[in-house]
Amino acid sequence: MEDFLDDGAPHPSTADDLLDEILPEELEWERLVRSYPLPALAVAAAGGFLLGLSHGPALVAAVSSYLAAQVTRRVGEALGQDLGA
Amino acid sequence: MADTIENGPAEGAESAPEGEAEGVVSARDRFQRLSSEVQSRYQRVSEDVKRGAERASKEIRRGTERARERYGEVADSARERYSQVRERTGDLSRDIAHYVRDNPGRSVLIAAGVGFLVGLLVRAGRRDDEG
Repeated sequence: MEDFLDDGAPHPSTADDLLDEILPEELEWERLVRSYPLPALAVAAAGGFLLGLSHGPALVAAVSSYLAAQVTRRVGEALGQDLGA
Repeated sequence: MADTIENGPAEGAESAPEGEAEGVVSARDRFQRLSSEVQSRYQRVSEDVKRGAERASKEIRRGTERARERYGEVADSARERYSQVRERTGDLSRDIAHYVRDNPGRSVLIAAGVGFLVGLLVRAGRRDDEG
């Protein structure tokens, strides 16, 4: 029940926001996924498979470095706040 | 034969047809005995064969009935299992579809992530084979 607003519309989750940013607006991915749930999962899995097969290591490296940078920044901020306080 | 010689040619000539007749009678008796023996043996053998054929036919019929019953049981059990599997698959499919409708973004990302990992593993496996 937490996922739904008072008017009955579902709360957009982080995953929904991410997909909204990644995918083009004209696609209306959410409507497509709700209308054809199993084919949508199959298409997503196939896309992930092809991506992992062709650019897997490069993507893993990019995501790892992004996460490392984020962690470093957060830790730096926390230390800076602590030092400042 | 000795009597015939001792009693003279006349008596021998009289007794010769009698001996011949006795021989014919005894041969006929022997032939009749043999014939009846052969007939009785033939009857016994034919009865044995008939009984054996009946028994074999009964066994075959019983085996066929047993095989038919067994086939029916196996077919029923297979049909039941198939319907159970179909029902479970249908339930699972409905559950997944329900979850996907409730959480579209998360479901798509999970599916893409699983596909991505499988792709990575396949790529690594290919590299190992080449190396």
